Amino acid sequence: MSKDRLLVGLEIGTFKVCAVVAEDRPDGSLRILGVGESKSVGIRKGEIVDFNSAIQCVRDAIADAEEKADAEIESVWVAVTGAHIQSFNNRGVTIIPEDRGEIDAEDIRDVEGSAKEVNIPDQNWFIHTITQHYYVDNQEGVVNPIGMVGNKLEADYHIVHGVKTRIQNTLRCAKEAGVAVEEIVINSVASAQVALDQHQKDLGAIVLDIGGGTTDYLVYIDGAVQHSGVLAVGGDHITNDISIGLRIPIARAERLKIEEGSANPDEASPGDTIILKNDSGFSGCEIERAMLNRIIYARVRELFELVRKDIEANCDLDLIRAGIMLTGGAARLHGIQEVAGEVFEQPVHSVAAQQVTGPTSVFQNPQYATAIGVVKYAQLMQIEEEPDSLFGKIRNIFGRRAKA
Amino acid sequence: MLEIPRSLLAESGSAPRILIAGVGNAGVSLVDRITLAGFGNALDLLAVNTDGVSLGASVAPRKVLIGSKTARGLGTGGDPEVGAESAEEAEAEITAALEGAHIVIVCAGLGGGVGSGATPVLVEIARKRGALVVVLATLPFSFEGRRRVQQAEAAQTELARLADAFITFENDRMADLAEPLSGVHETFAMSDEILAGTIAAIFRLASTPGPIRVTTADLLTVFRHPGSTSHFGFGEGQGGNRANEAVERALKSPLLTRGKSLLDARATLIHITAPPDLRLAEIRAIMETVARHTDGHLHLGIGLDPDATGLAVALLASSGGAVTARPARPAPARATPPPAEEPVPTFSAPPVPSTEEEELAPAAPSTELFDTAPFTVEKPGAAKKAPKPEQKTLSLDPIARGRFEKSEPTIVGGEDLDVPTFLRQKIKLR
Repeated sequence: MSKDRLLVGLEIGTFKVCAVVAEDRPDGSLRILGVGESKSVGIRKGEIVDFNSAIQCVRDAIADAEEKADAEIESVWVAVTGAHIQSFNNRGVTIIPEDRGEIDAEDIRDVEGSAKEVNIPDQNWFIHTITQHYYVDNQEGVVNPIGMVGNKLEADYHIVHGVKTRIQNTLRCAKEAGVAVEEIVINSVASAQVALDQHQKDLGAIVLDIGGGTTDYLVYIDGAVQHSGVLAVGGDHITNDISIGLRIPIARAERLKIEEGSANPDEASPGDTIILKNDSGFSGCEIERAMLNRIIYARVRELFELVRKDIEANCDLDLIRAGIMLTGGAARLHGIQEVAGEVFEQPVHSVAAQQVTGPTSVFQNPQYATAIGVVKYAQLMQIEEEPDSLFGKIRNIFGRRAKA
Repeated sequence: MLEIPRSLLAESGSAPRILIAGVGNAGVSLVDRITLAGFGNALDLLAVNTDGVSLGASVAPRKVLIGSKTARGLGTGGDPEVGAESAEEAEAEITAALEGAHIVIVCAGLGGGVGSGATPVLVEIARKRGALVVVLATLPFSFEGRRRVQQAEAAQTELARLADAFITFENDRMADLAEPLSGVHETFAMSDEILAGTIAAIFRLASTPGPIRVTTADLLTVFRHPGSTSHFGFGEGQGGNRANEAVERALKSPLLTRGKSLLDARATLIHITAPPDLRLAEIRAIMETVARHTDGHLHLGIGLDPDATGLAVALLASSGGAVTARPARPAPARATPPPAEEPVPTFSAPPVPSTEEEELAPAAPSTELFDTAPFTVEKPGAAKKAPKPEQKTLSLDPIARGRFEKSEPTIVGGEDLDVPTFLRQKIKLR
């Protein structure tokens, strides 16, 4: 069976490891062939804490994906996250030699290089250098400066960096599981690929990917990435809060959160109780629904407030006109949209992957948004790499990092 | 408001002389430990006790026997009154022993007779001489009985008011340090190690030469705010990641209580001691990490020590002060016209503060007392509140992290986000 190019996105998440196999079709569309997943073990807050268990999980997910997609997986694109990932904006400047005057690809590399001449901690790596805007001789709003005439080229970049060793651990984990790593991408950039369309990016939007262990967010303003961040708080924290607050085991708390939980404290009427059946090692009890919801509400609200605070410190919230896109596993939590709306005072949409084809059950589930986003990102990168393609002249806006 | 004592101004060029005084049995044994650890040559060490036998066994280079009349060379029997009288009796000897010291670090175990009774007297004498006084005190185990705890609390209030900086270590927290099954000797050794390490760090802070020296004035800035509580943390790191290791350890130091105390710190002094190969990037990493935990002022000091084996970070934070959790009470007290010459409350009649009201009461009027006193270094101790209430809240820590017990804490703005939100925000669930 002949397949067009296969692209595989791998997300080693706190809750699950998930591999998405997709086909990059000649017409430019992306068709998902299969999704493999396995329950995560040895991963906390998006980072590997038990290496051997994590390798096994990745192996399982890859094998599952190979079976479902009926294809052999050789290499993957990997999403990374973790509280160690940091970002900032910087501007690069380069002067075009007098005798030339015309801006070429070399100058673009120079300007990017000059933007990266900043101090990041020794142990950190650049992950992305995302172009925001170009300026040629102070002319604003240049989309593609190649071929333009000018003396001075400037560019704003959003630069993402993280701790080298921690990224290497993720890479090694994939390699140990038997697949080569093409490249890495941070969770929020991946999720944004599927959660936002160009129109929303231009209007200004926030992507909030609430996963099991981390919340990754990305802010688009005027079509460019303005800010990104990772907060090491996610669905796990909600579960943990429930477990402590109601004094029930973690596994029971997780089920309760999914089946009954709501972030809306006003939803439960007084006296409304949930009966937990006895289980092995758990004697069963009756809990008040209002209590459960209050615990969830407190955590979710705090989470959004922290994110808002960080975004506000870096961006003007008034420039967000397309609202908040919630994605990730925790986006399925009942009532979470309302809380986000309350905190951000913006319209909130719960989104899953758009602009892909394949089994709908997969891409309509926000749990898979990151992994599908990785594939989408991979597709975008490959188009940019081909000089002959129609899109070839669009510069690589995400600034690829050298292969590990 | 800030008067720098003449003695300090005169010799501002040279490193300040530091004297460590151990008072009472606990203090003396700590001084012994420091002597044995080899700091003895660089520091002035002084042991002060009423018990001639204990003093005789001490290896401290200088010793002062107090209360030869009152206590007749024996212990005080746990009575602070006897301790205070003994110290007053020996004022001349103590004054002589403190001669020439710019910074006096007083170590004592509160709760007993000498520790609770004599320490405040000694602190006062040192302050009168114009020295900067840092008190490092341990608080008794709660199982040592009500009386000792009360005596310790009284002394704590007194010392917080008198000293420039007051750092406490609750013995009860020892349980958090060591495994529950480890021997008592090991546990005590760990607590002593922490205290000795703290002293060594304070010493280095003030004495190691480097590109950014910490002067006594810097120390005063950190401690200046009346009503403030001091917290101290230190950590060391080696190898490639030493900067991060050191600062993480400093933030997790038991005395600093996992970086939490920094949240409301008004000022934080960060002192880095390292071999001369210290890089700017490391300093930056440390400062950025600390800055994430606090919004207060940051003061940086850097000492370069060719003999240092690793990079050490010491954090000295002062929190509370004018805007405290309970501002209502100290404020009206300050507004009342001060008694011109109110005698410093001593321990001749040890107050037994059973309520908070009583505990705060003696501290408030003394703000004014120091304003009129001629030779004080500054007014910090004045309304300084005992740090105890703040440290108590931390006992929640180990239970409340649940499944994140063993993972790296997520600390944002000084709050440990792994602890359930409803607990931190004290939301009523029912």
